[in-house]
Amino acid sequence: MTIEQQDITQDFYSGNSKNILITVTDPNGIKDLTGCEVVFVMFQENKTDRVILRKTSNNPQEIDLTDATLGKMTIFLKSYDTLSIYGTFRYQVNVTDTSGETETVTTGKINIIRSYAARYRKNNIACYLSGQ
Amino acid sequence: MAAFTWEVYSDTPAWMSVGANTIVFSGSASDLTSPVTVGTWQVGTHLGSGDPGTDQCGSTHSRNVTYVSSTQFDSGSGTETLNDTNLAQTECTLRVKFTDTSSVATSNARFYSYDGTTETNEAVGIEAYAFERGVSATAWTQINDDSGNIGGDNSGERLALSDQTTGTEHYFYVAVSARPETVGGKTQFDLGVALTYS
Repeated sequence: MTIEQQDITQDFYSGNSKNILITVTDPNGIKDLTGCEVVFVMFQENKTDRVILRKTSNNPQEIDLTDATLGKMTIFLKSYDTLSIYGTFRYQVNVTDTSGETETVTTGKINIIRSYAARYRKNNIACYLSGQ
Repeated sequence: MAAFTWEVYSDTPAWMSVGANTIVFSGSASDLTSPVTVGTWQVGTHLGSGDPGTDQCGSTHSRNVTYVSSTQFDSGSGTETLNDTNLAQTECTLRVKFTDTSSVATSNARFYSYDGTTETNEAVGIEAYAFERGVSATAWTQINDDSGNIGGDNSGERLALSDQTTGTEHYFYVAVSARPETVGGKTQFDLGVALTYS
């Protein structure tokens, strides 16, 4: 069963890091995620063909399943993932279990507020030209 | 810690740091002291130890890219159409390297010329164009025209550089061409780069 409208609408600015913690349950209680593959995608609202961001548990630095037996996952959104984007997006999290069955376990909106305070660097070099 | 390195393709040749040297636009492919006739574009680009000082290019001079028209250049083989095919990375005037110890993405990067003191002021006495290679661009961008009050880190008066995805090293390949608007040495002339990253 999909848990919908799990919106993240506050305190998320472009360029920020964010860890999304999700616990998956099924009608029997906690769902053991051992051996499962989890995929997180974020896409532009009303433009579902425009996936902005994709994460997979195949890379523990993207989605961590250390507490898989407790049905827990952590999705890591890095600061560079959202550096250049802002606005309202939708996300989906799919779980594919060891038998190959896939279920969308949660969906919702993510509102990323434009940030103007990104880290900034500048540098220069001297030039010379002589006119005659 | 984030850091910039300005590099030119010269000496062996290979990309080498400009260090504390000056980028010298001259009227000769081999002599950095040769002046440029007012209204004409530079013929050589060199590393100088001062204004212009002595040549620091090494055994091979730095690459030179001369503005021909808004969509043409000459890197020593005659007039060519400006695009990523005709202008190789190693033909570019500069490679601006941005590094960080952690993996970062860059955005809002821009390349500009200014008077060396105030970043929003144009360089004095010169006109200059710039081009970023590798982003499918096909035309020069005017980054300085002192007589027209154009230049500095101002919207519409600088070259927007591409956003780059995550990595610990980022490279911007840039061609620059300049010409004097008046007689005399132009020392109020710096090139600048700025970006945000995360």
